[in-house]
Amino acid sequence: MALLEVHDLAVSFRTPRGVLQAVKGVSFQVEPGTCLGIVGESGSGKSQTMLGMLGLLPPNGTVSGSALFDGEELVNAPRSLTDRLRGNRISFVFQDSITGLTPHMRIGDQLAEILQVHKGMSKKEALEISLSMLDVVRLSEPERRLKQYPHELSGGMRQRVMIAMALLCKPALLIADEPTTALDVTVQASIIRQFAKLKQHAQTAIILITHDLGVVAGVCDDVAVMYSGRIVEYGAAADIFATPAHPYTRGLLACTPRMDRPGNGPLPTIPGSPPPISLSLPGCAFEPRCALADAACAASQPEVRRAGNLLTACRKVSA
Amino acid sequence: MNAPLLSVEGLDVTFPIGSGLFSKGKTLHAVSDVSLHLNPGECLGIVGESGCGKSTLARAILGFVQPARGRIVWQGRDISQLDKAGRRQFRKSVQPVFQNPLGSLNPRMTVGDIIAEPLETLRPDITPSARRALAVDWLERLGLTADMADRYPMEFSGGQAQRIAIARAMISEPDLLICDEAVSALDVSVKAQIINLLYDLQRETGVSILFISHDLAIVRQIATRVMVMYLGKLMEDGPARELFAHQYHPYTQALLSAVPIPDPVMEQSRRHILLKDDVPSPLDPPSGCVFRTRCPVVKPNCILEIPAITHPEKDRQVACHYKGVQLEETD
Repeated sequence: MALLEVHDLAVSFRTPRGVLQAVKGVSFQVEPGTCLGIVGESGSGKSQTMLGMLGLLPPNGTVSGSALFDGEELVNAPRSLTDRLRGNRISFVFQDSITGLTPHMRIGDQLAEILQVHKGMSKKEALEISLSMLDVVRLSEPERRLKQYPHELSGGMRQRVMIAMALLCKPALLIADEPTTALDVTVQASIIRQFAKLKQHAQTAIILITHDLGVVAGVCDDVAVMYSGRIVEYGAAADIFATPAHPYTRGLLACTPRMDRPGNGPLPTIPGSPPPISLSLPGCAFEPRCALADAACAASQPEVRRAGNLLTACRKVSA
Repeated sequence: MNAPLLSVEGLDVTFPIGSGLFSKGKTLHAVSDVSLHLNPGECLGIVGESGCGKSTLARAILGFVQPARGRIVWQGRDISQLDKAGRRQFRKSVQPVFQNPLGSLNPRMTVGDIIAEPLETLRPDITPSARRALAVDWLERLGLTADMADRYPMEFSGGQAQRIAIARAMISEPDLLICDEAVSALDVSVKAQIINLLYDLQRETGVSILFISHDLAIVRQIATRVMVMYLGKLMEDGPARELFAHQYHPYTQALLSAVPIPDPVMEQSRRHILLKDDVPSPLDPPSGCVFRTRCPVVKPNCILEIPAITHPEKDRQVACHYKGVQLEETD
């Protein structure tokens, strides 16, 4: 059995202008020691999937479907369960590290607090483990960092602290939402490297949410491509990159400039832009931008089917 | 060879920081001793990580900040010496495009008015109705439709707003477009559209582009020359094709190796040159070579001596005592 099995998860928000369907039923699973990349453009629902699953939606949000973590249902789970799991067996790293840290607490105290709460350790013991964890994430001068406040660190250092914090309780599942998007590329490279080691050595399962296909390629074993609240293509990273079937995945890969290829005039493009969340189409959400689309695509949702080794939600893909 | 359109000579830009009643304050050297040349029709990519001074350099060229030292020469004339007519001509000829298109467009003006507005001061000879027609023309040229001229910026997506910002920049028929992270905030599928648009504009109108970005893969796609900056200083520059093929500076090597390639087989098997820590604070830059704190080939003299800019090949500049050392990829 997989560590995390998500089935038909949907997230919606009540707003003054009606109900917004941010996530329209997604299913995926994550095994220990593997990394699932969730790729998509803004508004595709990748972050809301995670927030919904973990019970972190704002009051106007509702979630349905199922997410079994080690056999326990997370969707609409009681507070007692989520409090026990979050920060302990499941932890997160968000893009914006400054809001994830308490501004008036020293780094050391914030890290130690987690171990004191979840593991019942003494402060001294907790600080020792915190120190070694800062070393694991390759933060320079870890002793000094423990005594510093978040504003004294650079963005890259803060993100390393966030990752150290997420790893303190040796979580079974780490969810990282655009963890390197705000960072410089040289810092990104070393953080991605740490993620790769983490899943290899500690058997941590990782869900990496990103819009950057290069980051996905660096660490992910499986990839789910999201578009307008649905997973349009799902499968092993090697297959997604080598033989993408869905026209959106193909387009996304084609229009991404690559460092290993010289720039050769214009890039292939996908016309138009990603649809706003408020737009709800009866047919395939990608149909307005798709070169292969026909009347049937606009009329109803495509079914998910097998194309080679991938699961693809497209009518135009031959099995 | 033609005279350069723009040259920057030994430019320093500094900002006083934190001076107050009880503190003497510090000086932040955002740009130090940077020189560059941009020829007509070229696209110069300026790359570097946060705090490297690339945006400050652009702002100095646009005249938004005053340089502490050095000259900015536009078509043979120092811009600080320009008379009123000369300044007006310069403003018409150099147009910026910024990162956040929705933030740079006035929310209370219609798109048509936003695009036509620069002509009011830059081309007083054109009648208002002709301005409007020109604005609509540019809208259509940039892939939008004429009916959008009566709508407001908030009705547009990020990609469309960036097209509007480019139309506004292009309407005064500039010689130079300064794009500061102009595609960084856009979705992947929209980014490529805007890059192609700039590429086409450059071929059709011959406009030069100063393309500032932290995204090296995009710079590789569009730039003809590339300049690499770190903590306000030039590290390396050269023709794009040659610089991407061979790097003299250890920083350039590390920077290029850090950019992930969207191919799992390649990306997971290739080894990267990983640098220690982050970029140091520009308020307290390292002595000697500014890159030395993270440099894998650092030697004692890097702490003491600022490396001079040398020319290992025609048309290439490098600032490193140990240029040309090829780094072993580290894990």
